[in-house]
Amino acid sequence: MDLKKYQDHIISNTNQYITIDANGVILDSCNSILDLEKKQSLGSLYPFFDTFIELIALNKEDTFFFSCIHFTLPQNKIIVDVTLKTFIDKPALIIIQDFTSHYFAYQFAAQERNESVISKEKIELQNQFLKEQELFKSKFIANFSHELREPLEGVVAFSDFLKETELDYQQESYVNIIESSSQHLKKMLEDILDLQTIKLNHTKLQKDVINPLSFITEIQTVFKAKSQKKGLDFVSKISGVLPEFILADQIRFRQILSNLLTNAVKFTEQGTIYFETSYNYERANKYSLSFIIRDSGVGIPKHKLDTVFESFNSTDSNYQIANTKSYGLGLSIVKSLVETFNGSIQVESEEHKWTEFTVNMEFSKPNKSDILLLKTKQEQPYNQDKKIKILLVENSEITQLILLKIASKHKNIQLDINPNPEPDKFIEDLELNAYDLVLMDIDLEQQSGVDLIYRIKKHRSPDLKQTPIIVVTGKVLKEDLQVYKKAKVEAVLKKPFTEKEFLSSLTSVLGQ
Amino acid sequence: MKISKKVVIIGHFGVGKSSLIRQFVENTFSEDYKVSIGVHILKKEVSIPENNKDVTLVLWDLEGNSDIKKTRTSYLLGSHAFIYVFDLTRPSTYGNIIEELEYLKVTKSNTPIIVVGNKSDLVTKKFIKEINTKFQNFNSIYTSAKTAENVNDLFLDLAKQLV
Repeated sequence: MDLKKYQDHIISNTNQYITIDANGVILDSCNSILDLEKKQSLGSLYPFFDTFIELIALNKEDTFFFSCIHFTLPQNKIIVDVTLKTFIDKPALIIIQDFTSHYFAYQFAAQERNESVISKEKIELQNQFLKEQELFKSKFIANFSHELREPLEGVVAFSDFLKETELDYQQESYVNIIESSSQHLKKMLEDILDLQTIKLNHTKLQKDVINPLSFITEIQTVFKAKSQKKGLDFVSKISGVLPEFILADQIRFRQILSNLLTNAVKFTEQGTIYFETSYNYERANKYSLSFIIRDSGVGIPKHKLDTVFESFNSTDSNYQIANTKSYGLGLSIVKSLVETFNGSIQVESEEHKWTEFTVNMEFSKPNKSDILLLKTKQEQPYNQDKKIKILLVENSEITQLILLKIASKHKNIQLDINPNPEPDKFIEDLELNAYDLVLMDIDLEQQSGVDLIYRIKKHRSPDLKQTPIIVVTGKVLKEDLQVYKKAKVEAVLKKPFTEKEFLSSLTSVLGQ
Repeated sequence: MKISKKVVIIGHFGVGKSSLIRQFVENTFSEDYKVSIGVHILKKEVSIPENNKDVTLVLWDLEGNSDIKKTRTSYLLGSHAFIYVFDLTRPSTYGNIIEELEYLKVTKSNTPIIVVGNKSDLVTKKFIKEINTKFQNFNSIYTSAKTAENVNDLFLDLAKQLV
């Protein structure tokens, strides 16, 4: 065959020409693709052509193109492009072009692309769901731990008071158990709150200027004493020359090292606690320090090493050997805190023999003005000679009783209580009585404590608006603290609190 | 007289347009996802007992598209109704639905549109109630091509609107 004949053969086998009248009845067809008979209604054979009747009825010269149309034939399925040509007062022409193989190839590619997009979307949704679930869980735990603070406050404070009464030996031992259990519970609540705060990314590190040598030496002194009290050796070492000053959140930094060292002492019955601090390098205005804490205690089973930093995953059986209480949050907190320092923590251990934690952390280098501002804050002892007139705005009877009890022990404290203040009268009373301090609960029955604080702090009388306010509350999440800070309160006393904590907050607000 | 109405089914890919039609026309469902390219045309006659009429719905199952403006205009020629299907489990399939529907309303005024939230078997009734607040200004229905929930009602209601 010559080229023309090849061309005619291929075209004639992939193109079909049909003419139809205004009612969609077939006038003629070359039948190279669809097998049609004259005088049949094309729309009744293939519903696709139904719409053509309306287009032909427009009775004008026009061309309509329809691509990628699927037809099911008796033997197979085909995918075609269809062109409709309409004319004035003449039959319409339909051209069908078979592109089945071309479209099948395209379908294969589209299938892969769409499946990949859908599975990606599903993974994203699943991740989002898991994140929301985790956030809900964290918020729930944080709120729940707040709810527990109120009743615990009564237990902590009154076991403290009970100890000061005349008790026989057995009663004293019972009170000691109540006290240690409630302290344990209090610590757990604080740890839960801590962990959730860190997980909710609510932890903002302070930038205190610290002399690392004196900071580490102080920690060494504390834990040397604790180790010796338990009959353990304490070996400490500082490798390299530590920088003179670093910038770090002092409380969180101490929390990391204290937590690891406390565990080391707690889980070791005999042998040595080893604490090493090393200076690694200075790079881009950052100091890298590492810390090794090793004990010769119960160790951690190999299969639990991977999960030791997960919440509520203490290696129970071994820890119980050490006859100590463990609640599996300390290491989670440590890990989360270390991460906020852009650091890392590793653990190695041999069961029944030893455990070693290695912590690497980065600290910013302070500038000269930071160092000049360095002041050592020392807690001032409470001065019992100064008369203090305090108004307690609180509807919890437990808190009222605790503070009345404390006030009765300190003759210089005069405590008035207003459990349910009516706002206008409350301000009048404050003006009349000239209190030295207001202790304000937040959850009051008729009025929000925060609203009352604003009324005081925005009052026209300079004396009144300068009245110091301590918020007494169990609501101490970051967002709560921001509200109190914005209201310009002087301090926040977290429930449950001890007498010592209460007096310390008085001192910090009122001075000696 | 024979009544035949062209109904165009649109929406993103993978929302279950073909499955809905297959459930309605053939009473079958397959878990397998097969991409539609171009357009498949199927028809089914629907009887409306209230006024004793039969309507042939010619269903144009268009390939999935996230932007209605990109749909070949020839596919929409002579449409008597639109069914806009979205997947209740995939927010991306209804994120821009209001704009899409407004576009249809403007370009094809007076053509009825039904919004269909498909895969209702995979979500809770509460979720459907929440999502329905988005479509208060539209005629909407929630279906499952898998369980056939509301599938016949969807097409029957549409047929009633068209006669």
